[in-house]
Amino acid sequence: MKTDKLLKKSAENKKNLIPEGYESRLRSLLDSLPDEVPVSGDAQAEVVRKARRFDIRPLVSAAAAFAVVAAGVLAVRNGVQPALDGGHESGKTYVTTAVSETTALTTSVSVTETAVTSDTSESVTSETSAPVQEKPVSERVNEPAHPSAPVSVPAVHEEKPPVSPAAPDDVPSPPVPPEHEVPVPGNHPEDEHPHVPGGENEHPDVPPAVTHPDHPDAPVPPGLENRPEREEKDDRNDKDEKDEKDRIKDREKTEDDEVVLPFADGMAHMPHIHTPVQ
Amino acid sequence: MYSKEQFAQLVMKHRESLFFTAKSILRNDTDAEDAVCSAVMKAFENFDQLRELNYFKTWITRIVMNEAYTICRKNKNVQSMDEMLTEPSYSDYHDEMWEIVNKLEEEFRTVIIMFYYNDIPVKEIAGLLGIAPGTVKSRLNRGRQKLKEMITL
Repeated sequence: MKTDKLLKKSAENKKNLIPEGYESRLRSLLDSLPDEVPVSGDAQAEVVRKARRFDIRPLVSAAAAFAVVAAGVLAVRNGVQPALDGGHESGKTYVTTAVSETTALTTSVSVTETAVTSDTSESVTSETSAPVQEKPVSERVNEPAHPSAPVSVPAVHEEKPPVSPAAPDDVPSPPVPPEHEVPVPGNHPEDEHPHVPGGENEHPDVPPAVTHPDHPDAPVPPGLENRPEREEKDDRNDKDEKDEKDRIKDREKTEDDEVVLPFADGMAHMPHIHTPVQ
Repeated sequence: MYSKEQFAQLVMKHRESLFFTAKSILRNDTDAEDAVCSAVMKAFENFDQLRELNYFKTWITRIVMNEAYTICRKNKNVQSMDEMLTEPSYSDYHDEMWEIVNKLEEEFRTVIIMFYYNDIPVKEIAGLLGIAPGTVKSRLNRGRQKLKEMITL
């Protein structure tokens, strides 16, 4: 506290601490100054600097920013364009709906075609498993039990072996229409699920339990054992009988001809015999 | 736009403060006068850059300090010789307290002279010296303690 008071007292007399010539020196200096306040060179330089900054720096920064943005856009384009062009169908759907619809149609058709081919192949393979003479696929396709039923086996019974469409011993096969085409589910929306030949719901007269064994390794029901062989045998028997009949007829004809021919051929050699004219 | 008369009035108004500021750094009356004179000339050259006249004291005080430090750097070796050989020069008025203040170290001397003799508040001192206000206060306290010790001796 004492030092503070001493300092304040000393400050009160500070005018006495200033040398005498200081005030006169300052006055003479101020009188020697020019009348007008000079414009400082720093201010002019400041203005010039500001102008230069305004001219050059924004242009440079804008150019740099534009270059960076352009490079980024090009890079993104180069990176994305191959992905868009490279079979990314979901990306095409955003471009035009027409293209997407056409692609959808084509894909659906192709899917159905593959389904049909797979079904036929399955049916053929299932039937070829039996030691029977193979028939062409077109014949098998045209042999379903029901005219409206397609050849394909429904997806519900995929684990089960497919039912052989021709079962003459057990199920009376309806007459096959002359123009029986393989239906395409994509063209007929109501036929999305292909009909089962001998299905449970639509054709109750066909016993499905007999035609669909639960396990492929399960023994075949006795009624179905060697059924194709029987058919083939019957056909063969019929054909053999017919062939035999034809042969017999041919033989008779040939015998008749042979009987006649010696006469005809031996007419020259044989002595002339007068045959009575009837 | 300012005029020469305005500048002269402001300089004469704060002449004592400018001198004590220079004296707090240089500890020599002649060097302090030189520092103030060169600062006044520089201030007049850049007087148009001053935006408000209310900040004239702070502005010109800063210029005086820079000139004092410049003179201090120029006369560093000479001052060291002066300190070794001769006592700091005093005016004709002899004030013991002022003599003791001039014996303080620079960091305490500058703060005490600005606060007590120039009537500059703590915040302005902090702004002029580029230090925190708390640092100014601590230097004031430590300077007072040292003055007390020196007075008792």
